[in-house]
Amino acid sequence: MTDFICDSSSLISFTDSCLVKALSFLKSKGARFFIPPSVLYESVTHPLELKMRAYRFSAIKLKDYINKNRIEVVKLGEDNKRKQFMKLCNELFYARGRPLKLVHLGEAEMIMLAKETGVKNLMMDERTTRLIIEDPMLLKEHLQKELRVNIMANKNNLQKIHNITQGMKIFRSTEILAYAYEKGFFKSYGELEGDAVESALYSLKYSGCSIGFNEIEEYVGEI
Amino acid sequence: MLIFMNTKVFKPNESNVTIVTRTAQNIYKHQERSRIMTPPLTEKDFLKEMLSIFRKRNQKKMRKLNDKILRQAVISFSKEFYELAIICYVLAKILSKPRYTNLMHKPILLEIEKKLENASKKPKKELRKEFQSLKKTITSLDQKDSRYVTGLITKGRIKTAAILYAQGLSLGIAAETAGIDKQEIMAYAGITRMFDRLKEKKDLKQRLKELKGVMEND
Repeated sequence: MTDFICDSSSLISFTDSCLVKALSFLKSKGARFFIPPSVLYESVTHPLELKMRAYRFSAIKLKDYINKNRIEVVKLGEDNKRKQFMKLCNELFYARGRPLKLVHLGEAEMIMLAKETGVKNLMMDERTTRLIIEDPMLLKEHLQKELRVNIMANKNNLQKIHNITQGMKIFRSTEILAYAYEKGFFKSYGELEGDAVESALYSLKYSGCSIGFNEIEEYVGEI
Repeated sequence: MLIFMNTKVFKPNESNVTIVTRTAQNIYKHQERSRIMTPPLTEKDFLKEMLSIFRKRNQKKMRKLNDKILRQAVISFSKEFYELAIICYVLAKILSKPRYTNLMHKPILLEIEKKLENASKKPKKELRKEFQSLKKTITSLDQKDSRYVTGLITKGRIKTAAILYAQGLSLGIAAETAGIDKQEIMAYAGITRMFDRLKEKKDLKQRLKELKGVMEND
């Protein structure tokens, strides 16, 4: 069994592109998907409360999946841990002597849930948190370029974040879908299989997955 | 490399090259010090600049000011700056449409100027109230010409949030500070090229390879 902790961004991409079935397909191949309560609130509870109905159907699809145990909700043991991790990330980079508040509590909760449960695989379409884990110096350079100020990095926090997130692997909804395709998710499309995966990847991209056009073009070019 | 000074030709050697390098370093240090020592602009400073640009009806300058405000908004993490950025964006859009800057809308445009001037004189704690009043006036401009379906301010909010995300804030923080939902930011960000601008270490193929390793070994 391969376990994944999911962020709301990846679930939003899947539901908005009507590709959430890929998750149950992969569940049949041995994957399990978990979410913390904050992701449940962001992707299901809150949209259902909204007056704007644009995102309610996506929320209903996810709620259905949770009710059928295709996605499971797991609570974090200690509430303090996510606040501590959030503080580490939000005091990681400084501009003009002030810390840059980069990460939200929900994003921090997901990481701490992964740490607490020992799950190493994360499904996240959101870019900033992913860069903090995978390549914080690239994020620092990016912030410097965008904000046009010198950015200082807190070495202690860098090390602490590295210690917490060491070994964690992050996958986006596009990789999950590409794997599902290679395992036969689009087989029923017959000769349209190649077109289906290409269109599905673009659909995820347009739903907000943080992938570049060139990445999709390169992958599709080799199908 | 030859250095020309007072019509005499100097050939670079160890001593004069070092001097040039040291001079360049000193210039850089001075520039850095000035940049660090220059106090950042406050909300009031930006409001005054916004008023001046709006009076001149200069759309390009208003857009550039919007970029400045957004950068400051990320650094200072102040709600007032975010709201200011949205107002600046909306004013830039108004200035870009000739139908809004014609004589018919002059009374509302003058009212916007008056409100910007009032806001620039208010203390920070009263700014949000001033911004609400300013947005009301801007909305009244939109209501007279209802071609924009979602409203200038809603569009401004989504775009500002997407820019904050593009600059480096997380999706959650961008959504929280702009007061909109993640889905709206993702839908907007997805159609832009913001993710192409930053090349990450791992691409789709590499992550897929890792995923195969994870799925097939577990």
